[in-house]
Amino acid sequence: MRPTGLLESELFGHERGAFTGAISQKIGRLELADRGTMFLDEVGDIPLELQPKLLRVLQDQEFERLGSTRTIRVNVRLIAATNRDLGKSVAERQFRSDLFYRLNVFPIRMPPLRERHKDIPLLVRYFVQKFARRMNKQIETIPTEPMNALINWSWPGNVRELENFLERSVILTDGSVLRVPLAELQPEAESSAATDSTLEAADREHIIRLLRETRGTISGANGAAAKLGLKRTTLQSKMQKLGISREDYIL
Amino acid sequence: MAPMLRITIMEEHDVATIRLEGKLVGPWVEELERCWNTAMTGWRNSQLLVDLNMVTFVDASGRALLTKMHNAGAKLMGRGILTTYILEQIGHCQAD
Repeated sequence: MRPTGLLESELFGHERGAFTGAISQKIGRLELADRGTMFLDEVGDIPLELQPKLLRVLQDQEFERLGSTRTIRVNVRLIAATNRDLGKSVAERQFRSDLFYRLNVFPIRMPPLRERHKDIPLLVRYFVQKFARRMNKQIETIPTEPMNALINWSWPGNVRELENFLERSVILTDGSVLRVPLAELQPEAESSAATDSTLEAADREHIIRLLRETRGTISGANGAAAKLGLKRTTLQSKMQKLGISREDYIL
Repeated sequence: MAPMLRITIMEEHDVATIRLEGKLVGPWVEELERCWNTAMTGWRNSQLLVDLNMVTFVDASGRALLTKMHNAGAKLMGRGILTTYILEQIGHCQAD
């Protein structure tokens, strides 16, 4: 991610002399995208201090360039992407809830590659053809065993990982049969650390959901502890461990 | 904007060739169909060859059009592991 100042200048533009090094005026991306569509990648990484300015653009279609007092109005359709769980970032106060709801008008969830194994053979053929052409190689066959290994691998790095792995495979291939370094695709031994973190995340989400429902009430028949089937003290100690504060959910 | 597709139409010795370069996806499928329909009127007696050697990707609608062209008598040719796979699939479609 770019440092906040650079990102702000990139998005909103700046006037000459707005900051050290601003030797000329710069038109920001939002202004350039006026009456068009802008794609904002990794929106979940936008610094908190910049989020209100972006929200204002989405809400009121207006902003000022850095170092300017003149308000600029734009009409931009924004498509934003993130690999983060923005709902969770909101709960953790790393992302503004008002911006999240403004962005979340029409969410499209792109499932990870491991949830769409059927797409893998097509992607494999696409990348192998692409790299073979680039490297001037004639690869005609992908044997069944490596193809099955590719289909069954979990691809934690998703399509990018598959693409890079296949580039490596094409580099390693001499003849017409794709040579896949199968040793790299050993069945995943799920580390206990990974499992712990997944469980922890699930626990956290569940507790936060109940705290929202109970508006931060822990004890009593309608409190979060009773709903979880836990003693009040047990839930409190769990919350402390997970860094959850009930005050955040009291309305 | 959709990735570009270059369509080149040539005719030589009773063989008409449509050469495609790039991605046969989205709006380009419709464009290819338009080119094919226009060209077909002038090529009633020619064998039609569709050269896919420089095609990098074909989406579902592109496949459907290639299948239609194949079923109408066009000969599809191409190399590369993805393109030959698609051509095999289209061949199977016709057999079915």
